[in-house]
Amino acid sequence: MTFKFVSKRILMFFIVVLVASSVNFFIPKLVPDTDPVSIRMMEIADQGGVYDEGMKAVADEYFKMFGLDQPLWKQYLFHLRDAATFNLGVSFTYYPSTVMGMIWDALPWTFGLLFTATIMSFVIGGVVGALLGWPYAPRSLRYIVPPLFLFSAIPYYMLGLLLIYVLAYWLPLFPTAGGYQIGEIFNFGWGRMVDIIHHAALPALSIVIAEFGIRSLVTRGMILSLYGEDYIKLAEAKGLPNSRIFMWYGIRNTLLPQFTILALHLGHIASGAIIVEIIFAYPGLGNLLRDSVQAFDFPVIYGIVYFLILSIAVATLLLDFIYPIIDPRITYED
Amino acid sequence: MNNIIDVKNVTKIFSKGIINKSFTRAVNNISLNIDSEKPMIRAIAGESGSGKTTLARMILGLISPTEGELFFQGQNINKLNNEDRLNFRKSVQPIFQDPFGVFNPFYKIDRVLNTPLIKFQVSNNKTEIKDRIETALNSVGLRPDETLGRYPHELSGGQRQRIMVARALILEPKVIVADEPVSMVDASLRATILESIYKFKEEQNISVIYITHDLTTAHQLCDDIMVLYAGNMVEAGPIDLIVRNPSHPYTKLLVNSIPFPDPDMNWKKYDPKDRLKLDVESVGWRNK
Amino acid sequence: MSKILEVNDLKVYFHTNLGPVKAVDGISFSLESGERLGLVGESGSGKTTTALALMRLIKKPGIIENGKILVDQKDLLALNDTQMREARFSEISMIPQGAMNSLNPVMKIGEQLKDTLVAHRKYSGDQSLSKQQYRSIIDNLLTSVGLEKNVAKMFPHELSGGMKQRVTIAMGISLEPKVILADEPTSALDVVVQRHVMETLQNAQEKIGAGLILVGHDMGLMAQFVHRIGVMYAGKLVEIAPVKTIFKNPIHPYTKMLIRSLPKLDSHGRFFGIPGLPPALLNLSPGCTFCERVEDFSHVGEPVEWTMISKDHEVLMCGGCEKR
Repeated sequence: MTFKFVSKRILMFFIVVLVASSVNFFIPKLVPDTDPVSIRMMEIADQGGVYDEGMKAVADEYFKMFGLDQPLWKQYLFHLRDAATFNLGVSFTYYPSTVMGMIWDALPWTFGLLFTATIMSFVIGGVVGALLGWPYAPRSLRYIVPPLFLFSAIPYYMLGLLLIYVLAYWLPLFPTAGGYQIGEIFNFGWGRMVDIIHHAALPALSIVIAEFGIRSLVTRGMILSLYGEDYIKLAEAKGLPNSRIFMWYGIRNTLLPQFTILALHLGHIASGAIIVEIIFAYPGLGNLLRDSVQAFDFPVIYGIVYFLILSIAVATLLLDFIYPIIDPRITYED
Repeated sequence: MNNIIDVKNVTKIFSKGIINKSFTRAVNNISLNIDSEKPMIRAIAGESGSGKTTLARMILGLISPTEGELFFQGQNINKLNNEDRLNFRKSVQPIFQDPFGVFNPFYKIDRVLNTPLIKFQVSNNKTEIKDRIETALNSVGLRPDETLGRYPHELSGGQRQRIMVARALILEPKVIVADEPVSMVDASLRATILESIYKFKEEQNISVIYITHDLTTAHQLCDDIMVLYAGNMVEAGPIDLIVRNPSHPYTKLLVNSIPFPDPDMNWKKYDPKDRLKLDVESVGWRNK
Repeated sequence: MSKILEVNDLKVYFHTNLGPVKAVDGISFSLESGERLGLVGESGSGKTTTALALMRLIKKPGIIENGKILVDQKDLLALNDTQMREARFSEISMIPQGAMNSLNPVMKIGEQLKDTLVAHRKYSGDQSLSKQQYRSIIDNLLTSVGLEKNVAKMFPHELSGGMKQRVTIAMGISLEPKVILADEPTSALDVVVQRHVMETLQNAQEKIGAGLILVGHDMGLMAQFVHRIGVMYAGKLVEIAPVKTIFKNPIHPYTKMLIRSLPKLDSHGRFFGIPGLPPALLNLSPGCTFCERVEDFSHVGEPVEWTMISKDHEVLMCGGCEKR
């Protein structure tokens, strides 16, 4: 791995994060006439207690505290500095909880859900798709699988609702919402783990089913075109067992494009996961984001979006480094 | 004596990487010229990696040399203005090796024949275009009614290559650069294609640069030959002399590798040590 | 020397919507142990299909309609799928055309050589060998085709064309089969490498005493390499004879034209192409397709028969061909 390769990639990473972070800063500012402090004040006023004279002073104090009275460019620079040091500020709504703290609490749920769901859809979709394209697969597969594609056409939110209805209400096999049984003390025992998995099953399943269709079709296409290649013919001529040809000569050659697709798809999966979390009231970043957008809780919004961008950029960077391991034809030179 | 193509001390170096550079000297100080008065067919022979394709690309103006210059009718190829460049492209036409890859599979083969005539502004008259195409096809031994209107995959490799030859001819160029035009065609069908190329010289005064690694077809087709090894010219001269009586060890290696269609003329046994003796001074142009 | 391969009346038809394409239409020949036979013909003559049929690798819509393929007295067409899979590469092996694409790009060379050995050991119920034992077998295979031992650790794209072809030769002899089929193994290589590869092939074949069939279109290559030549045209074998006889006394007009079209060093400026096009194999007329090609339709309906010119020289032609 040459120094040049690594440094170039890392530079790209920083540029991406910088650009995204800047966009992140400016877009909410473009919404006209919203000023988070006033909105919050109005909410509080709704809940009872109106102090006309003092209100303005309180608002001004808040403005100063959150740096909203500074000129825009100064706010921008502070923003960048904070972003780099992960000092994401404090939440407006849940003051004085720090944004970082809130994200940190929600992160394991999202990460666990997303990671497992992605891996599962990758593997299941990949294998099933490959089998569909393989001439020696059991015939029945060709009749059973295509109807499943219908489910992939259903948008995430509908799918989530559908799953809740069928598997949590009608046949109460799974819990309808939440990440864990409410009211229990948080410990790391075995029963706890099972409970978490039980709660994660439906959200994960909705992501998997939604991704399954595309992934299978893509893999199937790849395997079909691969089977005409000369090296498959030679492998058959060598008298190798069909299973070995399928795994080592077939699927192994589709891994690289699949990883590329995965890398490109990460953003999409992340956004889908957000919706899924909202439907299932899953205590992850998705829920947090929804709440903070509704409340115009800017620091939290910035924080979550920044975090998402960062995670996807890191994931893409890692995939970039993994590529040459998977496909020996790609070298570390540029 | 005017030269239509003049290659003066041309060198091409390919570099790879920016921090840790590695260099490959594909072509090293090669000169040649093609006379405009007397058309001829010259072979440029060598194995893969000898630099022959790189040289061809420079002559066609597709890549520029690192050192040295190439001239077309006295003008530097890489410094032409647009109008002269168009003229250059029209006068120096290629025929490439692969009869499969050169066609866009979505278009009928007519497009390959129509486009040059239109783009090079040879003619706008539909009838004239049609006539020229039919003449060109006939001269390579194809029947227009059997070839026009078809897609590339509907024709055989030999037919496709003949269409490529017809395409080169259609613009009435002065020089044709043929890069291994028959190596991907069946041995038994090569004769027809080579014959069309031979007729370029005989009947149409077109000079041909024939790039190959096959000395027998070179002998059949060409007047003289230039042998390249690792980017250098090692020997050159009249074809009969060089092939029957090679002087440089590399030429000898090439000649010894020819599979003669005569069971009594056996290949000499391949000796890997032959390859070690090849770093010998170039013999240059020979006349005897 | 016994007959290691006997092919009797082999027919391979492709059933398309437009009718049957008779890619191979009743060919018969035999091969002795240690002998090299060349099958020469243009593209579309059926030579590659024959090679694939001998490995039973013909896929739909192609079917082996008829025939017997006897390798060392064992009829390959009578074997079931599992048995045939065992027979591949252990009884009869293939060296494919264009090794460029025939090697799995994501597997190391050593792995690709090894999996043939491993798979076939499993089939024959032999015990699996240790890593070192496999390593030494692979090292021997590589050196026997003139490659360095470290090639086993490389990937196909790191090798040159000639080296890749030699890897496929190593694969082809790894199980010491009785018959080797080489399908245009040098078509993508230049003359110098070609000579080296063909010599490697000859050494490898002679070392294990197998019979070899070289399929190709280059009579020049055949002249240098094989003992006997079979000329194929439009799915049929039209002439078969020892190599010197074919060149000195070709009988069939197609063979004559093939030989004449090749440049030797005395044909400057003279070209003898074969007129017309190879026939489309769909709806072949029952008579002599060669006469049709040279546009002599007077003999089209005439029967085409095998004639024996001498003990080992046979020709398939019609009355019209005889007179050419």
